[in-house]
Amino acid sequence: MTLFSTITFSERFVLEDAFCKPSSTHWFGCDTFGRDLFMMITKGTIYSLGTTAVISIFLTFTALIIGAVLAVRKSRIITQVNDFFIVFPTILIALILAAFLKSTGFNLFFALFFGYLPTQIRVYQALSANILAKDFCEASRSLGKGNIEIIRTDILPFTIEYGLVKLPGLIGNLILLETTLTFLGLGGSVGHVNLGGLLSQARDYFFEFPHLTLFTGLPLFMVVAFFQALSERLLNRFRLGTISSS
Amino acid sequence: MQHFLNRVIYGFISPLVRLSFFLLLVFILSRLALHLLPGDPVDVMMAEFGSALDRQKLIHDLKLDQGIVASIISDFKDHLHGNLGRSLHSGDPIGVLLWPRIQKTLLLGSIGFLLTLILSIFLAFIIVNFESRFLRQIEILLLTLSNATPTVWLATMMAYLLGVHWPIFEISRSLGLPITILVITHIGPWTKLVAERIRSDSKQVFINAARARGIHGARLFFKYQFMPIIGPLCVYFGLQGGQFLAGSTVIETLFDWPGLGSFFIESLQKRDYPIIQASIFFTAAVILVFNLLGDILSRQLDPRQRV
Repeated sequence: MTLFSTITFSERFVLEDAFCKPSSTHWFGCDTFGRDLFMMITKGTIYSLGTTAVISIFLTFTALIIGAVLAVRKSRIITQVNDFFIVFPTILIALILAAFLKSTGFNLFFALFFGYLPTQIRVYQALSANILAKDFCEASRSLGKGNIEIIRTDILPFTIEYGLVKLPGLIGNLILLETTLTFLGLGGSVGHVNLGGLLSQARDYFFEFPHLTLFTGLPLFMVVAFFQALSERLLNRFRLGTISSS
Repeated sequence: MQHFLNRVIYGFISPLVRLSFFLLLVFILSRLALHLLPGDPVDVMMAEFGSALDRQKLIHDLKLDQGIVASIISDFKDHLHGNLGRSLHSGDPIGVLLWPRIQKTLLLGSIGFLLTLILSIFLAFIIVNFESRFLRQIEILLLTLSNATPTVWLATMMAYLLGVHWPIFEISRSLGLPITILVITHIGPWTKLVAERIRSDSKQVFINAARARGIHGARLFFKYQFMPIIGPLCVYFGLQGGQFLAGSTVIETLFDWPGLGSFFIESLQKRDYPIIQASIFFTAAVILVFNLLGDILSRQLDPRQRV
């Protein structure tokens, strides 16, 4: 119902309702232009979720393939270069990329993708190396299987499962990073509602109308906490922590 | 003598050489980014700031009229002579603008880092030694609060609560609120990490032997539980120094703290590329130095790391 309402919701400005407090008509109140804040936040959350879900899927599959190749080929140079980028915080890499590119949706995708890629590659490289050390992989090698065959039949089934379980947590982290970048005005498509932009607007009025900031950030916190808790639950449920640690 | 020389070479000189190499790599990459990333940076600036800018002057100032290698070598020579370039917008020398900012960031970062470290070790001590379901829930709550809360939202809410509603701190240009936010956003994972490491090592025989000899409380915690894990913790916290710095970038902007992070964000928004490149270099330098200090401390405090 909410989804349908969000799709049919039109962002018309009703300036008389600007900054109105929460009521039965406007559950979270109205924003600076009189638009219903609940609908704006729902729209922004759906947009952020959609964007970060797509980025997460691309990121996970790219990282697990590169990680598996690095584990099998044992390329020290590429591993050292990747470790060099891991030292830098993700947000810094994303900020630097956003700095040199125009503020568009695609470039935000680019910044988020390459911001997280080094860390993800390292995770899947370590996981693949763990799997390679197991007996069945040794058996595959001794049976004469090539590297590509070993990656396809022995490594990827485990890493894909792990990747799918960690995907919700990654989506949560990417939402936070996307919100920060759009808050700072360094990304995001023109014409799309985003949570960072809403937070930035709300911050300008937080002394007079603190409910704007409270109701903009609270759903974001709940969404991110939900995805991170979901990822932890799935990890424990499928006992995949043992693959990465043994 | 040989042993001392080995310690000096592997403990200090080798990491310093690696640090210098990585700094050179950062310098080259920050220069290459301007040339190699898609889109013309001058077009981006002209689109955002309009005809007030002289296109040819911008191209000359950014050394885009030279080849990539020539411009990098020219920049490197200038930097060796202490000339970090000039701001595209104000024309001021970057070195003069940057140094006070770096000092402010180091002040904020180091106080926040030490405070978070001390608090997280203290909380880990409480959680491990008075193990209970309630404290486990507190640990999970802290972790969720740190990991799931958007920093920009938390900062605004804390500014309202602690700056307006209960006026404990000043909102802008003071250390109180930025440090509070930095502590809240990092204390969860740090406490969990220390507590988990201690829990996993607490089944060790020497700890039970210490307990059997009547050692308990703070002495048991620090000498028998904390010190054996200090090597890996130093490495981890060395890496976390970089995360701290990244966190302070956004927080400095939110609270108008005149540090390197807010300067970096301002220059990003103004597309002042010489300042962006210099900020990237110095931010990277601080992160790599933290990393190096973590490695060195790890080797000095944990004799097993030297083997």
